[in-house]
Amino acid sequence: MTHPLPDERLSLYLDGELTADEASRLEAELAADPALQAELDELHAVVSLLADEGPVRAPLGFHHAVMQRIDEEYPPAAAMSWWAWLRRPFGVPLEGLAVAAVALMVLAVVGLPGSTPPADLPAPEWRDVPDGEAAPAALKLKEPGEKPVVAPPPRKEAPVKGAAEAGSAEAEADRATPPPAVKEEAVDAKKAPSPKPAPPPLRSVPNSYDLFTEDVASLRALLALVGRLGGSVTDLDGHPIQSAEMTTSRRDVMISLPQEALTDFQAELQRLGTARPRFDDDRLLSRDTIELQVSVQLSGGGVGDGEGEKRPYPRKKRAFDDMAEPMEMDAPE
Amino acid sequence: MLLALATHLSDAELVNRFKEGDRDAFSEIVRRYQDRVYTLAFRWMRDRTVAEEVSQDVFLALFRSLERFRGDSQLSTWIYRVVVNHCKNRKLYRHRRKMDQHEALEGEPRGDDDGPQRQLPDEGPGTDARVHQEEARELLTTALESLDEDQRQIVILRDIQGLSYEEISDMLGVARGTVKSRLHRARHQLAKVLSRRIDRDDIA
Repeated sequence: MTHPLPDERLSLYLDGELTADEASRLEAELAADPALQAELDELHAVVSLLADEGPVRAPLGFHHAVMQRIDEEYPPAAAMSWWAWLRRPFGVPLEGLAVAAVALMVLAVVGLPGSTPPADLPAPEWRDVPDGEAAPAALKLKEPGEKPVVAPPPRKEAPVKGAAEAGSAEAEADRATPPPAVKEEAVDAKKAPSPKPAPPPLRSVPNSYDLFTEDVASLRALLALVGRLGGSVTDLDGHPIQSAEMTTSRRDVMISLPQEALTDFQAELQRLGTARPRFDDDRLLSRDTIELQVSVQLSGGGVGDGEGEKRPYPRKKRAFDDMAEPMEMDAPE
Repeated sequence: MLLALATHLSDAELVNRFKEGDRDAFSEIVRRYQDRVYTLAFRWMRDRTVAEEVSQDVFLALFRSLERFRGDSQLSTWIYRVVVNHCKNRKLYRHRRKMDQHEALEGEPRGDDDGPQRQLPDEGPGTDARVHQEEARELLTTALESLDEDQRQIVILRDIQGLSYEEISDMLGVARGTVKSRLHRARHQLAKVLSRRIDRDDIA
């Protein structure tokens, strides 16, 4: 090889990170230098191989296990809002505090009959609460000289598993910023205490299916079924699929259905072959249209595996993009 | 264009719902990211059981700290950062534990490096192509292990997870130029290792 030191531009070129001018210059060099071209091909092969590694599915039951641990370690009751926690029995009812505060003020002005405050009792600290300051801190009775303190919300320590090596990112975040629930409650306490209405419940539905069938005609029947139910079938890039395109080379399709048609679809799908939900976790929907991925697996083994696909420059979309990427990513901040 | 595999709710919408107390929104976040988190943990730790533990810990950490996510970066980047931190810490922990228990463990079968076991759906009978693909994966796994930790991290994040240079730079706290150079050196090293292995196997 004539380039003992790797030319970093090659990687940048593969990643589409060169400017147009830089890319043009490199392409000219590549055309004139077979060794450089060979090096690029070599790197390209490596990158392609890595990209084909693709995703590894989380183990079956993973979602359930995570949510179970969360429920165990952070029971829903403990996850209630700070405001709700304050209002619950044996908590510190804000209304009670307010009444007590008024009573104290009255007593301070009028005084109890036949009693006088001890001379050494420090005057209660009253101060205005500036906008944006946590109201609960102002409501909390303080010792002289003590800074307002808001009790942290009830929270458990790090999970037992891997506790010794628990990640530091969230721990740092814990130290750097006060618990958000407290901040939220501070706002709630300042305003009239009106808990936010709960968001509409999300509906749990299956996520995707593996469809095992021995009959290629089932693929076309699938298309017809979705059409009957008022839905549509596309490929993974969102392009509509025609009946003639439902061939053995078709592996994954996206199906969009009216939500009310889901039950019928699930029942009918079983008639086309063995339909198995791919994930055992729940999928949550809040809109009228549901979208499912159906992966077709012909029992006869006639379906191509997708390997051998030449990876063009620049890099192709990874399987991740097709698998679990949210369809609407956050706009860059 | 991103696919409509997940719900119509964006990450930001889910986070907002979670902040409003909707635990189901977090459930959806887990569903949405579980494979990516697990993949990264698995590629990093090279052990299925450990990867699962790390992944669970990651989501619990997210549950605790998601309230503080301000949206300065994408949720995915934030999550990956937590995964990377957990993997690094777990590696460190395992390394220390191995050092501490070196004598006790000597001679015992190693449970940590039992090789990758892909969690793929059943794909029917094997074919030559699939066998070849599996061989290539084994070769690649071996080659990846030959990289030093810094290089391997970046290769996993860039070439397997598909993160951008900026995301990796942000996540690992290294300059973008460092990401570029490490990535290129890592790829070059992988190419060399693979080339040697393939040549050797051909001769054998």
